[in-house]
Amino acid sequence: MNVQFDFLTKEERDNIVAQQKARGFRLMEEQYHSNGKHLIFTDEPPKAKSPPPRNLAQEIDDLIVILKSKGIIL
Amino acid sequence: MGISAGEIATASDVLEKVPFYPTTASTVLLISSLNSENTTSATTYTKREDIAMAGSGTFRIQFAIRTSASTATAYGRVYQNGVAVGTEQSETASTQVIKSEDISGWELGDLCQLYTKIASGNFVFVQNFNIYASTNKSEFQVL
Repeated sequence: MNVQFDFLTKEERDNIVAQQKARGFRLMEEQYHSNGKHLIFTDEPPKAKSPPPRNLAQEIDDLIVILKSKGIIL
Repeated sequence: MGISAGEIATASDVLEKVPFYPTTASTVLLISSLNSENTTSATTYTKREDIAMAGSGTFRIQFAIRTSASTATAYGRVYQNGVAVGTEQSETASTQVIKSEDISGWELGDLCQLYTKIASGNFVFVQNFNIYASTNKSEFQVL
């Protein structure tokens, strides 16, 4: 769940951040937009980063080069 | 009300037929840079990225920032041609927080730059330095 708070001063911002942190929400986005200043929190855990996709064709090519260099294959 | 071939459409016909999509200000992504996480331990404001502005006016400028340790505040700030123009953004979270700011006064060819700093012995991470506007403008370049 995401929740949004508007703020004016740094003190208000820091209070909101502390309150929401105590509730188990983490700050996801801080906006200084022309229509006001906003804080957006979420209680969802950060998404784990997925590893980059493997390039199997390149890995096979690299392996072939190594095997050739060692004389294992011609 | 339907329109047959050869008929002249009235204003109300057009309003009926053409969907209206209101554009929220500054939501069109013009350019995205720093697509993977980039880090430094510099303790004074150090430039991390340059983007040449291909338009003038007000733009929404976003970046994600985090710190390597919650005891060390990571700072990020948008500069224009080497001069700070954005609000100094600070973060103590070890997960990325998006900082988003509407900044006016840009001219064609200006450099929109991201600077960061952090206390000694720590690392500041930034990613997704993006520029948005209310309309599409092309030819932005990451330098």
